Amino acid sequence: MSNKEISRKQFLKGAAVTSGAAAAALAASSLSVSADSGTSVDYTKGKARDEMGTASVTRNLPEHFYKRIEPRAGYIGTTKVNGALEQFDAREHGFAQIVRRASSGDWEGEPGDWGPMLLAAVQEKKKVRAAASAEETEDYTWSGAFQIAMDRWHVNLRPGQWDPAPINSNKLELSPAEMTAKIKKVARWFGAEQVGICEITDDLKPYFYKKGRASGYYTAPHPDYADEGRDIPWPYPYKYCIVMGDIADPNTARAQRGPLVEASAKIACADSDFPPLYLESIIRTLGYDAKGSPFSDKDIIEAPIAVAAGIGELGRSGLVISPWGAHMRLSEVFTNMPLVPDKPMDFGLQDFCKACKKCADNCPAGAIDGSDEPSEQHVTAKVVKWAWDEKKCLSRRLAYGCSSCQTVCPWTKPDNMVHEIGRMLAKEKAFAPFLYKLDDFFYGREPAMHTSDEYAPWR
Amino acid sequence: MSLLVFAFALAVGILAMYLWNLKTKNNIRISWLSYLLIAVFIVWTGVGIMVVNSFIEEAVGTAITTSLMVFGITAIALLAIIWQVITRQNRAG
Repeated sequence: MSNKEISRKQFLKGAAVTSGAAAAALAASSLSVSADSGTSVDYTKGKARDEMGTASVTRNLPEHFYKRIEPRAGYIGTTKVNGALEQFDAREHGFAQIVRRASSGDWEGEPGDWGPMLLAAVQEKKKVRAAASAEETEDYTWSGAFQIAMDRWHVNLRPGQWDPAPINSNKLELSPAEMTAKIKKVARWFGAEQVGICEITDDLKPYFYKKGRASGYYTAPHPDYADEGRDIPWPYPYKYCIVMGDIADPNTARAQRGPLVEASAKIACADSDFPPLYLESIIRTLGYDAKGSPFSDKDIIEAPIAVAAGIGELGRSGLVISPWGAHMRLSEVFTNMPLVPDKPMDFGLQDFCKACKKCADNCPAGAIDGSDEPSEQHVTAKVVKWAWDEKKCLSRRLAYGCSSCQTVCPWTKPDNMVHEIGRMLAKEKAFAPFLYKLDDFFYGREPAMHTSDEYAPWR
Repeated sequence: MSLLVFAFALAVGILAMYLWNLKTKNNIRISWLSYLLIAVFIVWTGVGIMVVNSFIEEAVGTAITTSLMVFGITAIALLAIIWQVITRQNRAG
């Protein structure tokens, strides 16, 4: 055999090594936890999306991302509460203010009150639209149409409009543990990336409205608009709340401001009406009383209930943040079906938020407190959290559209191997300062925004 | 995608075999330190490919550029160091 020839032994050895390397690489690629495994939809090429948006998360929240903590007196999850105050009238929240004032033309109030702030926002919105290019004007037209599409669901699902399924006299009898596992699995099948359950106890009373809205409108104006409200009973007639978290579409949310993010948020809002009503009908047909909470028929301030249900923690931005991120939309169904409530979760968010402050730095309205430590805020309870100015936030959103705090949050990342490691490390206090700086290094302290060119479904 | 990964791994395997044959034929000595550096290079490059791929999936331009630079420049530097260590060791020996 000449020097240039390869012996049979060498050939077999070479083939074994290359095949082994190829097999190892193939196995490693199949271990990827990315959602890109043939189940996600590439909407940028105009494909159909699933009914709950484009899922960037397909697996159950891994247990190594968080720990469960025992419910404690004086706390909702990891948030300290120093006492109850007066319950809230839902007709006074920002969205209701917009509809009422735009419909009546009443913008009266002291500087800094809702009236003058919303009027300034409406005027700013008109200026923005007047200065828009032809292409931007068309974007706003589509976005406005998406908003009306959302609003029709809210209007038609407002209190008193929904005809609930009768409660079946034949109950499906399962143990609470088994029923809990099955109902959670069903909720996930309907598109909720996270599901948690809390028991409605007296310490949650401050987060139930004293009066809910009766109107379903979230857009304005309406010449004959009126909202008499509706009393929310206490004790509340349901024992448990099933809270569902829907992770929003990350690419359209990353537009941060403008028509694209508004279109995305509005449709996510409408989408979140369906799972609670599906579950309500299912649970009633299984023989138990249940009441779904579509967006226009809410009895609660959602964040504390979601934290109590173990969906996430309350972040600096005032949003409920889960290890999957801050771009989570909440919906609920109340029931008397025997269930096992979840314990709240702790994944190190409080220490992370103290160090990070990225949402505060990126809030175009300056609505989020940038202090190192949270302080006692008086809302419907004395809650130790970072201050959030809802008037500044909503005024900005009305004029421009906004999801900055959700999308710049370092936790708002897709599910893949790289961010798996990040999520595992970030729950340890020691890593928090390093990790948010790493996020700044790769994504920028002020992350770039996605554009309508790339992601708008109408482009 | 799987085909691409398979083809890439096959190419890596063939390259590894070629380098091993070169080492054997030319009696190139490789110390434990050099093997360690080669292992670090392989791990670093593998992690870099994962990180860059992740940012490509997220379509974040700044992250793609930054990660390419960080992992790429470091990988090239590591390769240069490995080359120098092996060359000097064999020249001295």
